[in-house]
Amino acid sequence: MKKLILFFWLTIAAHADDRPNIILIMVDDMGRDWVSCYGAKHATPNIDQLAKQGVRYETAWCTPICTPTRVTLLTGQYPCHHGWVQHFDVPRWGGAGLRPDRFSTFARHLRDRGYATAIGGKWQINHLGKQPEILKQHGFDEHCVWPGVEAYQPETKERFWGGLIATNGKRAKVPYGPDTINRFLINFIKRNKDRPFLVYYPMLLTHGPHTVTPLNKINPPEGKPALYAGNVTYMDQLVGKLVSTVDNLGLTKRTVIIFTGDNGSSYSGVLNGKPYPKGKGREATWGVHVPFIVRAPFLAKGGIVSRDLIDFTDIYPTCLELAGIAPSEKLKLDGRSFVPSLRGSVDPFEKRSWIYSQIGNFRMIRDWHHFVDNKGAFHDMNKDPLQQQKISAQDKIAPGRLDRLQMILERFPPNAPAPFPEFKTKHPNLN
Amino acid sequence: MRNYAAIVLLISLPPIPAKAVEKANLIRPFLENYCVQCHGPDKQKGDRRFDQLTGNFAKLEEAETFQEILDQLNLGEMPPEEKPQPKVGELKRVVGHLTQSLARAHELAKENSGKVVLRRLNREEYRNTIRDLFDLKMVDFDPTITFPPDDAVEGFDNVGEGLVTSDYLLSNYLEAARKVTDKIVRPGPRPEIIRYNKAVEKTKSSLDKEGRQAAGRMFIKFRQPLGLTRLDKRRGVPTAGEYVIRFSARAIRRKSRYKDEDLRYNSDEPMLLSISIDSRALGATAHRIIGEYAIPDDKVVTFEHRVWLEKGFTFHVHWANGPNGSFKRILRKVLPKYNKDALFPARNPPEMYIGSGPELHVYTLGIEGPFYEEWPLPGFNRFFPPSTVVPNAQYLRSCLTRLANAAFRRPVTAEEIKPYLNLAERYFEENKDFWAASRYGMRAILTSPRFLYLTEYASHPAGRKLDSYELASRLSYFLWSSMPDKELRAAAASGRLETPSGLRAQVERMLKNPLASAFSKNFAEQWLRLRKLGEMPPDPEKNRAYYADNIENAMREETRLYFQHILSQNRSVLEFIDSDYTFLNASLARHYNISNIDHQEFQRVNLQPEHQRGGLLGQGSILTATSNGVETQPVLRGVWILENLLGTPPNPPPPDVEPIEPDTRGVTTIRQQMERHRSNAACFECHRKIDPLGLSMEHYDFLGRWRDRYTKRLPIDATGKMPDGTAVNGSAGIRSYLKQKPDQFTRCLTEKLFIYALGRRLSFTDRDDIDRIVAAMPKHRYGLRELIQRIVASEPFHSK
Repeated sequence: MKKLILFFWLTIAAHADDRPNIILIMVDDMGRDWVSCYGAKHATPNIDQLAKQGVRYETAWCTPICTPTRVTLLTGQYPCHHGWVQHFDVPRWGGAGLRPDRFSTFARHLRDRGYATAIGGKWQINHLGKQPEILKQHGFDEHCVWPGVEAYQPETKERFWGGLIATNGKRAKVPYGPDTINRFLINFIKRNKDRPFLVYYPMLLTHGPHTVTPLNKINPPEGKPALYAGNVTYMDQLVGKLVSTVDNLGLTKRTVIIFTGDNGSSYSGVLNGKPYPKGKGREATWGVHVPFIVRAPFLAKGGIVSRDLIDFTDIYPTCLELAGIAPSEKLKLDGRSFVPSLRGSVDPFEKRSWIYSQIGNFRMIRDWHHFVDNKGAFHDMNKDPLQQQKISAQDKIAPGRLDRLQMILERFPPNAPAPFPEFKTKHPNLN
Repeated sequence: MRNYAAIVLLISLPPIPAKAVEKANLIRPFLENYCVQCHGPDKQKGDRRFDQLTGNFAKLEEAETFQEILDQLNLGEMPPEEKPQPKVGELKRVVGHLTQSLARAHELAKENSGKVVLRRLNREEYRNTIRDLFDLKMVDFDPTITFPPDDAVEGFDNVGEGLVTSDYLLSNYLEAARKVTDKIVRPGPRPEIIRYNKAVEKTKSSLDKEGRQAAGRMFIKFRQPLGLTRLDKRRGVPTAGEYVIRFSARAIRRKSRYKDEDLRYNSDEPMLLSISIDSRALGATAHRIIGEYAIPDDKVVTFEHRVWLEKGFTFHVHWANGPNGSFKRILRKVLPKYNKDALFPARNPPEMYIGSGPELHVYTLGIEGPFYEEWPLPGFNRFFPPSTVVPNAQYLRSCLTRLANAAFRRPVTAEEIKPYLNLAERYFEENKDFWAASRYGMRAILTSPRFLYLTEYASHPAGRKLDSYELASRLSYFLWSSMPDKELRAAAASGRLETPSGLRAQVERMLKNPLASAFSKNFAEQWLRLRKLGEMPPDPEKNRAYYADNIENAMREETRLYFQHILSQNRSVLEFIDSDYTFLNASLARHYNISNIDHQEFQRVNLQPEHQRGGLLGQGSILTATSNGVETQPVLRGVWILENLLGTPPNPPPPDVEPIEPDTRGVTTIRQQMERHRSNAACFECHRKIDPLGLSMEHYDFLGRWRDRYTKRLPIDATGKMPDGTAVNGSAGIRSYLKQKPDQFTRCLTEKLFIYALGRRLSFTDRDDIDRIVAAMPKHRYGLRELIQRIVASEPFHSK
């Protein structure tokens, strides 16, 4: 009898919290030109399957390089506000990195409200050796990460075959880094299936050095691009395994899975039949225009393609809205939640009319149709996605669009001061 | 003064008896004493000169002049008030003598004058005849669309003298006959039913055009039309017939975050979807809105609309009361007020607006048809009844003969029809195409003078009297502006029309028939000169209600209903002068400032004295047609009353008169500006009759509204003195002045009706009949129907 009452109480307690689970998967160094549902030649069946079950956003922007993207998405602020305007490899070059006393992350916000949180993959914005509790401080209960190449720690050089992986504080060499991390997260999900959880998965793949994967180890492909392609395929498999876990545990309907990339590709892919420029680090749209697929069955039916505009400052507010948390007055968030877009709202006042990105002193902005940057470029993205042609003088609409985008561009303040002194030393002229 | 035109034929009259010449000695001294000073060698006031008259009533011009003199003496308008007046006895003797002499002259002259000039069908009569001959719906089909307009004589466009046939008109007749026969001759089975539909299943995209359409609804962007591309590509429906248009729609966000003023839109009104039809071939003239539907909020509704469409017509749906103005304006000027990411006045992206404002979504749109109640169509079946034999020459002859009998409005003789039949048969032999040959023959019949003219045979054995068929035609064109129907034709054939009771019965029947609305419209509009209404529209900026409430059409409708009422109820024609009722709808009542009228349809309304209305002179149509859209024109109004109510039109002004300068400072009234009419004796001659009438109507402004003053500083002076000394004040004064001369008004109306009925000018030989009719009217309470009956029964109506 007591057991029965306990059982009922637990069930009620468990079901009392029906906040959705959130899984944010971010591939390293891969843009749309390698995802087949975006029109790429390379086949990515599991990602395509995710798109068939969810919403595929055609126009989403991050920043052109790893660490600014990560800081932006974690803090929900633009680089000109958080100061991290250029790449800075903290484990390698030192410095305080992302300071938890200055910035809130969405993970910490959700963790503080009862979510179980975990991170798997690459961090790189703090020195995990020098700051062993930093991940917890930023809001992650558990972690399984490659710490990054730490200065004077040669064993940290490897991330893939024989990679050094730190799991909840314990460092060990593992056969293949990505597999270990994937397994860890699957296990985390299984352990936390009965409570709301957040999984932040900044994958190690498909960053260089590009080597064979367990799939093609026996018959290795030739040449770096082929190796890169092999990495993409393996990454797709890992994603498939993770998603299957969610489905097999019956968590499909209460889990939001977001799949995206952190900047443009390392190698040029083929998009819609034409070669697409490689984007990593580039001051152009291919540097930032990444895949963005959201599967949220309780909000949106499958197979939808959306032209709604998304940038990475939207992720933090979206997580708050999904978790039912109202943002506080003190919290400075630059983006807006894309939950209305997922719901299929047609009201443009609930959605964005422009997206923005920057690297160093270079800034760019676009809407559904046009692209403007602070070096004088102005392109019609529908007719000229590769930014090669000038706008025709006959185009009567374009000047107005240019004026509008420039007006918004001018609203952004100069770059905030360097987040820590070492940053300023490395990038003296940016802040 | 009456104007009689010169009669075409010369007449020679037998000599006048001696007694009349004697009495001429009575006339000459009278003229010398009272008339010749102003109408003689020194002065010819009113362009009239009397010192050279011989008193020989045999001469037609003299007889006419004496008739004028007699009329003026009878009216008391001559000699003018301020000149020496004849003694009562003297006047009586002269008037009596003139009356008798003229009466005798009438009788003698009658035999030789008053002949009708051969009269063709005018444009409207042609159209109506085609309609009735072939039982056609003439809704969007008008074979007369390129016909030249007809000239009006004496204000009427069915007077033979004005109905010239030019070669341009003749080629139009040939083309119209071709159009009509192509439309009528439709042998073969019913046309196949076509179905075009546009209904898209909902799919996944958003925002762009494909996305919108794919999202399962078509979007009417403000006032742009939405139609079926397949139908438009095929240039409309393949054949004339009845079609069913179906659509389903829904009103979204009728009330949105945007203010009504910004969108130029009234969010309190339900959204209205209107259906319009047009034809690429006919262009802008054929565009017509055929229906309007209220679409409820947030609920999908389906509607069906049945309409007769001519071949080549297509349809579109519109959001009739959507935001006014362009979509571009919303993006440029409105959006920045609501969204700080939008820049004024750039053309901001439409994606920033769509989904936030009011929208009318159409989910399905389709058309199906043609449907027919009977097949073959009655107009075709009537002349080409189904035959068991393969169409051959014999069938061709019998069908064409049947058509000629109907089209020529009398039984055709074999002689008459032979050339037409030969023509068609020869064509059939050469081309072996039966239907082409039948159309060829039909065209010949429809361009024959026996069809196009109201033929009256000159060498008829009965002299000048019309035969039954000619009488039936004249009667039906009088009352219906169209050809006789089966029953009238039967009455003619059986001889019933020749009897007074048979004729009377037919007139009663015809006036009760809905086709008699053609009489109301054509006669009333032309008698009252209302075709001018709309030629001088008022300023749309300053008179918004006039256009928004459609006052012009409402005013026309008021007069039409008024005339129709007096006709159908056989009310006294004096009610045209004054009455205590009229017909109003809510908009027109607002315009007249009559309160407590809120029915949208026209209904009879009783008038109170404070409304200052009643009779034709209180009706806006006439008051607006006699103004110039900016200010009133008293001279025009005075002339209108003289011409159309009193029957004594003034002479035209002398050629060197300059127009009055309008007073833009507003310090003088129009009366003061017309000072020259009084100070100049030559002007005063005619204007003493015109001005008092017009100036007394000054309380009605240029749109027929009542005003107490011109401006704060200028009061209205509506007093006046008529030539015979009667003082009038305001329109009430005019009305009582006119009511004192019931016979004069009745005579005027009778004359107008005669001109319209006979299709010719009046000659003074018609006076007797007119006199008789006018004298008989008081007995019948001046009923309008009775008046028409008497006109139809009169001798001129039965004479060629």
